[in-house]
Amino acid sequence: MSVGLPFYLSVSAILFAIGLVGVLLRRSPLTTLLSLEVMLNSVNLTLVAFSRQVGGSDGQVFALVVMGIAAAEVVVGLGLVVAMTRREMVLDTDELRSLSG
Amino acid sequence: MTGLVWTALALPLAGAAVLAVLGTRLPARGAGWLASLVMLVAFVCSAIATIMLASRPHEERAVVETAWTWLTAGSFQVGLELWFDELTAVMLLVVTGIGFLIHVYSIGYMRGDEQERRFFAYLNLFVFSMLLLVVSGDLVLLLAGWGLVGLSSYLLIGFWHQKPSAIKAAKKAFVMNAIGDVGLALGILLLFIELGTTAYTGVFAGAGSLDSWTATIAALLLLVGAVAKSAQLPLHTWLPDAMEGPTPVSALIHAATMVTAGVYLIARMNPLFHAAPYALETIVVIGVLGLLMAGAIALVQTDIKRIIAFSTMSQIAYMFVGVGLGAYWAGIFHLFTHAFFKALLFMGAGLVIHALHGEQDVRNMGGLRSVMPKTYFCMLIGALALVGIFPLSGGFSKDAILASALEVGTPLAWVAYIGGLAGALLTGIYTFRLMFLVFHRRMSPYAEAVAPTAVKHHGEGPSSMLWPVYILTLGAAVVGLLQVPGLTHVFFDWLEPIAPAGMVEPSAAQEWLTTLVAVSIGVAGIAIAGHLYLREFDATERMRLGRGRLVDHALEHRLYWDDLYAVAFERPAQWLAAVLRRDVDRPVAGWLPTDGLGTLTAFLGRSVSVIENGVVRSYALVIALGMAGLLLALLVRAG
Amino acid sequence: MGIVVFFLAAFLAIVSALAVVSQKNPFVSALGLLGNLVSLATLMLLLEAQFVAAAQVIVYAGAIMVMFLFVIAYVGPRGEIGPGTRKPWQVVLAVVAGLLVLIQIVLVVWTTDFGKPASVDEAFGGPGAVGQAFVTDYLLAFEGVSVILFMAAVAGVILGAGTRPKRLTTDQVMAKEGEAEARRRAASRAAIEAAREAEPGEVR
Repeated sequence: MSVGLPFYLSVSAILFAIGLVGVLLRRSPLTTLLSLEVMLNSVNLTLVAFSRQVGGSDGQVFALVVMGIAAAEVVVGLGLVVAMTRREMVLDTDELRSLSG
Repeated sequence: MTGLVWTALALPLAGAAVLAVLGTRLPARGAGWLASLVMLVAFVCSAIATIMLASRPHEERAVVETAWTWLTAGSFQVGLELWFDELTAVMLLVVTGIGFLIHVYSIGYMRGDEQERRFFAYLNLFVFSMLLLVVSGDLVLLLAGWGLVGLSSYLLIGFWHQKPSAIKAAKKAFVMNAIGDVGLALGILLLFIELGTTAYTGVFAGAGSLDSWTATIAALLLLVGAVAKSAQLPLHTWLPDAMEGPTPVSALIHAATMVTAGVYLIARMNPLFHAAPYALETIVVIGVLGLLMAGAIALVQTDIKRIIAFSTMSQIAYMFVGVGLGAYWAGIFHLFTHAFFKALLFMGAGLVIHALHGEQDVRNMGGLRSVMPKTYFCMLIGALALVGIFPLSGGFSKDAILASALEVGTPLAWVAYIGGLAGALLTGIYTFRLMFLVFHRRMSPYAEAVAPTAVKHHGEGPSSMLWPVYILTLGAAVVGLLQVPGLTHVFFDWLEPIAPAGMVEPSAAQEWLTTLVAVSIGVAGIAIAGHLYLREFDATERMRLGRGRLVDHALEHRLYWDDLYAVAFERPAQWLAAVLRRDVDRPVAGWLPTDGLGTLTAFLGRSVSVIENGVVRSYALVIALGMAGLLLALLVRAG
Repeated sequence: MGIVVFFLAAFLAIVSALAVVSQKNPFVSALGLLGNLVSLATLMLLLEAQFVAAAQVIVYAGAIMVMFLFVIAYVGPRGEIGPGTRKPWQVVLAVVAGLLVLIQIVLVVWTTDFGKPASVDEAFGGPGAVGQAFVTDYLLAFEGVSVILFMAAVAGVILGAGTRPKRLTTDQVMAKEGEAEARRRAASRAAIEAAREAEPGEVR
């Protein structure tokens, strides 16, 4: 038996679900960001797996693009965390609710 | 060459943008100089472009250039199209040249006003709009310029927005002009339906193939626009009220440039009007009625600027007669000379108003000749040019129009001829009534109290106000020499190519004859004015033309046009609104529970706003559930 | 061999991911992510995407994780405080959503016939092949990412440079301390006065 595409995709799906639950449940912005990274990584794995399946470089290129976007997102997210700390706010995303309707 | 025209067009817009953006970061005085500099460069560009145009052979003088296409719908395209020919060049020179002088004049006039920068930003915006109007090669673009000059005119009339009367006047001008804009837009739409294009090239080429009814209707619709913009009957009532704006605005917009746009439009669209003879005759009728009516009303006005405003209306009516008779060059020639002497008169009036601390009533002036000799001399030249005394500029152009009527020779042309000569008499009377009341007779107590000290301290005005007046005086005296019957022929030759169907040109004999008659009539008018107004005058006495109370009352109320509009439109609208309120709104709205709808809406809003709790996690949860649902839907569909 | 490595790496990836989302201490979570990244890089190597695997380790583990650790070190390993506003139904719904997505994907993945993987040559997955695709077909995406990164850098600077707690100058500090000192002295003097008045005899 060889390890085919479905195996990789299943691993990716599991990671994605784990990350999703983390994003939905964790209140610390740091952990939320880390969970988000898990989700992004699982997608990267999917992209690379499909790239191998099809035999083209396109998927890998997109994996790299995702990494770039992830870096940008982390910069902003961590910047927010730092700013929150500066203002001596509680590190809890549920406290940031000034958008409440 | 076109690059220079583009520059001239873009510079005032850039100036307005810079002034608007920098605002109070600019020094107050700097704004005026910046705006004037912009105008000077634009004028130089226009002048060079005109010289380059003149150096071309006759056949290659009409230049069309499309910068880019900004509106595409199917096969219909509107480009940012530049049209540069002889007529455009004349208009460019008038707008930028006179505009530059008036900008410089405004530096002195507006000094000390808190919002000088806003004024100059508007002024530059106006110049841009006017240039867009005259250089556009497409009717849609022309309409854009047409609307923009209306807007900037509105802004400038209402510039002193703390004055309720100024706001009212601005609104009135805007509404009247909007009526004209609608007419113009409908005319353009009709031309588009019939010809499938709005570019000048296409319209001119296709105008001949229109059937005469379509051409007449289209021409009349364009005429509605021209009449409103040029303050002609019956859409003229906004012009006298527009004098609420600062005097440089009156000189630039309501004398030299914007109000003459109607004449420009007719001259520009001459191939279309050529195909619609009834429209041309309508123009002549409007012109003759307008010049007589405005001249008569000007006889009894007491506000110095309103006298000049009615005079403007009357002179534009002459131009209408000119273009209506097919003597397009004569109409434009009168436009050209009028820009000089009328701007001069307005700016002279501005000097007088300045010296009298804002007083505009001629009954409070008088005897200023000895106090303000320079102003008197300049305004005298302007007044003589306006009356058409040989050899000043106004005479040549007005006589050219009247002589063209002789050349045409139809009954209507004869009516125009006689009416024009009668108008010349009125011109002589009202112009010199103004001059005598302001500068001759004995000083009124107010003028005596104010003027001598003001002039002693500040002179007749700062040099930035005096020099433009001097230059215009020179211009008003000499520009008529461009076209001396039988001797020089510059203006006609220059404009000849704009009318493919040819223009009416009177013979030198007809012109000299007309000049002889018109000058005698003008001198007679001056004599009458002298007889009526040079005697001692009681400042409290009302201005009376004759003994007839009825005539006086009618003229003082400007022949009741405003009252007519009030009865015809304002009252019915108010009545309708009252009826709707009483009989429709109240009964219908009374049925509904007073705040039932409001309560329901508020309740719904509150219940939905629970979702918007501001917690990021719950938003993410909704997204995740939505994603799961979407996947489920896809799965179910795929089976 | 490949099978063993795959299952090992997959197992590690899942365990470390669980650690990321479940640990109270963000520091531990970050370490979990590190493990997750390395396991994924291994999986990518199995997929012959050498360059992406290397980038994964260098960019993610090398740069992004370092940033995370810096920030965690800066704010301190603060976990979540108290029960917060998390409601039981939220937990249920979140798990349901996660499971739904998982089940659906797995269902699709295992019922679809993907066919045989394409055969690839030596260059596949190397920097040459990926770079080629990047600067030819995906140049716009490449530039877009650089613009986004630039914007993020600017945003990071602005967020980080926001209102600082006001630093006092030495003079201000000394003045404040002086005030406090004076207040303390005044208080003690008042206490002594009070004591004197209460028991005049004793002090004298």
